[in-house]
Amino acid sequence: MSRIFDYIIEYKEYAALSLLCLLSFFLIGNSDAPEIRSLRSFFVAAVGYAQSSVAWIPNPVAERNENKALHELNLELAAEVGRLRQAAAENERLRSMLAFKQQSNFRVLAADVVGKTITESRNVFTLNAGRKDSIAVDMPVITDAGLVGRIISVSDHFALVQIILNRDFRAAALVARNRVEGVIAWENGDYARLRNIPKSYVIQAGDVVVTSESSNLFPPNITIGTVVEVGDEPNSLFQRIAVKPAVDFQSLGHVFVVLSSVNKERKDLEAAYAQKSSSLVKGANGTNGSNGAKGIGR
Amino acid sequence: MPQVLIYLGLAVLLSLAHLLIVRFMSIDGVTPDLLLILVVWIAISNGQMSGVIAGFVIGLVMDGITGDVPGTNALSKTIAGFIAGYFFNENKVYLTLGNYPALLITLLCAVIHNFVYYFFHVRYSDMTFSVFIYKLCIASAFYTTLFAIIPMIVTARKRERVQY
Repeated sequence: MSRIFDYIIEYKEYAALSLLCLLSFFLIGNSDAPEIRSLRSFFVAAVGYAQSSVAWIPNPVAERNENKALHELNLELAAEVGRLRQAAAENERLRSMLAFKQQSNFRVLAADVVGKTITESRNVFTLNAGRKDSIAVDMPVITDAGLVGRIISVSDHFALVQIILNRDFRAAALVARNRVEGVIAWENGDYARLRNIPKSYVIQAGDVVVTSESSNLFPPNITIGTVVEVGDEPNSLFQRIAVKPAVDFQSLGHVFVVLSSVNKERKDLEAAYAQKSSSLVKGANGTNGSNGAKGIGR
Repeated sequence: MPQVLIYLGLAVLLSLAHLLIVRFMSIDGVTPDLLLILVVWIAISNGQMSGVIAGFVIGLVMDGITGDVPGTNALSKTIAGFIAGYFFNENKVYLTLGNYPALLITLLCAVIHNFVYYFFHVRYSDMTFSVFIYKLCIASAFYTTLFAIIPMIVTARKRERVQY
């Protein structure tokens, strides 16, 4: 026994270390014991009281860090607000499109504009829907705002839309107020032209232009745009009418393709007649041959 | 006995400093451990036994004022006191404390102390091992060592006065 005691005395530092370490582990292990908890609460209260007495002293480093953290938070929140605003605007747009789809009399297919080819004269958009979605050439493309254009080419999963602001686009149109018919076409600039309206008809700025029943491609009464400028075409019997498209092509992101098939019987009949009388029609239209029977038929 | 009272007074003073002033010295959440410097000083001046006991008692006080899990500071400072006590040499106390070895011993003890102390905290946090090692163990130890320069200079001056 005395040898053990001597051994402990000899290595008393190690014995003390072991004992105090064990005591520390005991405290750590029993930190939830009620006695220790009440002791801790006492210390916490005392420390809190002491610290509150000097809490009024500003801490520049902590304040700078807090300021930096708040700046970062502010930046994140600003970005979040931007994202939410964008989402709200998109939500609004999709809601109006959904309402349009539900109210529409046509069978339509929603598609996204995934590409915009804007050149001097050939403005076309690419849609992310194609032949496999039942899209075919000549199908009209619309939005809740109005007419966008027509399908000119289609692959299995994509389709090209010839928009109103394209030199090759033609559509039979009429002024909604007085039902005067003409042809919508585009030369350049931001506005389309309503052609073939004789000078004898009164067309005013603000008149709404819609698709005509005469068109064998587009359903009737789809808004094309609004007349913004009326003038005289030099050396011609017709007026020069500028039409602002109802659709904002810059921000266009979602469209509907009208899937209702064109009345083939009507189309064939009109095509056969147009072929037969092409020479006669060309003669009658003179220099405006390109806007003739073929144009109105569209 | 008077020496114990001096150490006790210093412990109270440094505890108050830790409570009230150390928050102004915080750099990215890293603060110096002034009480650890005291433990190291006691161990180098009086030996391993004193270092171990001082480490445990001061650690308990630290646990109380910091609101830590009781025993975590006591354990880490007991170990730090034991290691610092290895460098005790009755004939070279002032030589050790008044020179750079004091800083190296403080650094070594601080690294081991931080490793043991923060080990209990890191277990419950999502901190990575590298952050634990570099920030909590090493950076914090260097910061503590920086403050050990003050008692080292004071001891060096004291030694010069004794010599003259």
